[in-house]
Amino acid sequence: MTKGKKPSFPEQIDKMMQRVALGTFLVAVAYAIITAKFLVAEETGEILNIIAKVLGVLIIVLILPGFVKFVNMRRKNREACREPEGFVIEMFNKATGKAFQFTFLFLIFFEIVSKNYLTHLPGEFFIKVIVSVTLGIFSITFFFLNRAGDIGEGE
Amino acid sequence: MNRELSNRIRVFRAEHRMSQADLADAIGVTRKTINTIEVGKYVPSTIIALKIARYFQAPVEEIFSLTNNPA
Repeated sequence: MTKGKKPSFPEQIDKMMQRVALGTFLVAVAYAIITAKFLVAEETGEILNIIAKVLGVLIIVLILPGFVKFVNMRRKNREACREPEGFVIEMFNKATGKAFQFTFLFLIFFEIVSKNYLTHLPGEFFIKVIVSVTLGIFSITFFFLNRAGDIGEGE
Repeated sequence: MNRELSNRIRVFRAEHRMSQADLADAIGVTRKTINTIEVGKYVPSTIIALKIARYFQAPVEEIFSLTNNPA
């Protein structure tokens, strides 16, 4: 892209996708922190609760302005975003698929573990772990796949 | 690099004296998309391939070809 030039609509969609993935990663971390509350003492749990709330605010501050801007742009430019295509969107979809595969495997694993080992923990714990793992795998896979496309400035 | 699909986008760009960003703007994708197609990291959809061909006013098989195509 030429320096100083306004980013094109597809470029802005890509940026939004990257922000969504970053937000998803932060949500995964927040869920992991909340999950850890089940495994630590009550006092430590309170500290983790505060950290999770701070993270929640950070997610909103990071994602919401960009999201509002994106929705407005999309409303003004319906024709351009009817069929969004490109490398980043493809990687986003691939990461979604991978996350689903891992979630399925993780559910099977947790079914076995919850019956035999972690019987004292509530169902909420397992659900939160699965949400955290799913979102974490999605965002990390996306960053990894997307990074594979960073191949210099081009000409 | 994709082993099955090769392309001549770089050649066509050079002939038209275009940058990747210029081509990306012309067909409505990102520069990263053009870059990854050129180096074979991303296999474009039929729509993107046809848009590129239409832009260069060339048949799509002149730009994209199968590496192991016996024809």
